[in-house]
Amino acid sequence: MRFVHKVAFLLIFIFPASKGVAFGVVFSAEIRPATPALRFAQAEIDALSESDLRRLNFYTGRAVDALAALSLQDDAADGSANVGGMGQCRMAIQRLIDAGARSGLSQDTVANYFQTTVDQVFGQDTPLALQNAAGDADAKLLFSNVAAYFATQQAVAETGDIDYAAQIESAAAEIEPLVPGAGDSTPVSRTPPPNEAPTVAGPVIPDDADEATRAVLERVRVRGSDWVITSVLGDSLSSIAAAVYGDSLRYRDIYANNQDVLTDPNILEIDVTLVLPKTE
Amino acid sequence: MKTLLTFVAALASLLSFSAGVNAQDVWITPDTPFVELDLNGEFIVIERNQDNEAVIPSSFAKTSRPCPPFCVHPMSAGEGVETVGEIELLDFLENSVVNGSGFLVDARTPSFFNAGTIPGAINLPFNLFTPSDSNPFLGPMLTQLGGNQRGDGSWDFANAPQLLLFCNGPWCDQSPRAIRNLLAIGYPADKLLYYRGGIQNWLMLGLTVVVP
Repeated sequence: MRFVHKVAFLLIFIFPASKGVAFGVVFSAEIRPATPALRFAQAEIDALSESDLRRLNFYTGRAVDALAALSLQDDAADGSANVGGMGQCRMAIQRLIDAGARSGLSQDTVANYFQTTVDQVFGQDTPLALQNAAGDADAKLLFSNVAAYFATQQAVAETGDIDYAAQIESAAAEIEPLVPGAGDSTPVSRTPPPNEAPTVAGPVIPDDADEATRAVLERVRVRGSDWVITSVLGDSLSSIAAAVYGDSLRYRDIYANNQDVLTDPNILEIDVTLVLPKTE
Repeated sequence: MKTLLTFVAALASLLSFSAGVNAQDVWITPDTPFVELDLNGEFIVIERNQDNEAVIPSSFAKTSRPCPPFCVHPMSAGEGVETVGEIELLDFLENSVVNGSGFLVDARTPSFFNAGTIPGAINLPFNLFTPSDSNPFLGPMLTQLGGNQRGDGSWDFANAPQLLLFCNGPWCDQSPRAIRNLLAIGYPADKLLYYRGGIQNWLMLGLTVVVP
């Protein structure tokens, strides 16, 4: 059981650069005590040179900013998915990983450091983008997803060779199956009828999937050519995204794909059936 | 959650600046202790020397080089070209160089550039801008900068970036000469800026210099 205690702490920050005003803020929030992993990360951080620490803090701040910007957009609930926000968040995190690497810090260490900073800023309200399948804050998962995302892009850019046959194949697989009468002008519903026979395979549950991921994946059903899931108590868009895509940031894709039943990415009611967007 | 997050956003933007503020007592302006930037993944810090007894490096202490060629320059480097100081240069870095719409150009020859320059600067030596048959670099460089050469040999700079040029100081003719040549080629004056103080004034203020 996680022990949570209430701490009030005084943060005095100084605006640098163009902003430039000094002032203090009293901020009260519930924070979790540091886990051993986080304390270990802190020891490595403490050993950094002043200039390395400065660079790391600069990029940590930018990544936290990007995460906060996503959360603010979510709260505004101004509808359509802001994919640009996801991109900026990924980029900010990748720059933070790079900054850590230049100081000899592992990705996990940087993720842990980021986690402590996020905990201080957000308190108990873990941003959606940071939640794993169990709904817990998991910066390591987010960081490995971001690194994998850019590694894939890098690989494509480097080889320059695209397997066109495979691309066409996978593109074809995403096209909805021909429905009798689809050729006439009758509009075809985006969502196939619930009892339509499956035309795609369901998710494969990895052998090493943790309990929470497994629990979510087991509830994913195939309906026509779509994967769908019906929410139960404890679900959030990001816990589903983390389980299905291994990428909590894609909660925004799920939100965008289900505008007809969702009005706020922060709120997922019980018993809502979500159509999961296709894997990229 | 919502009210908290509104507050959190303010905090988060504060947090990014919590680092590096170790009791500096030589700030750039009363509001700005230092400037931190990300230039395509490169972390840049510009601040002033915190040593209250620091003096300008001897290589830039000379007052009386022979004129010509080392003559005192007027404030303007050309009609319509804005002359800027250090604060405007920092704003240019933040607002134009970071997003790729502008370049900070060290117009000195490479030996100077390699000895130390303003963080974020690129080196385009002034002699590359000389229109001459013996300068094969001009055309490719202007193309690289986003210029399009028309059939009649003239240039269209509609998509060209803003350039802020500097050289060694108010007695240095390298960046003014580059600006004169750019204007003659047709580079729009409103896309050119001139930091007249150059490296000498930059160093005089104890501002950060990097060795590329």
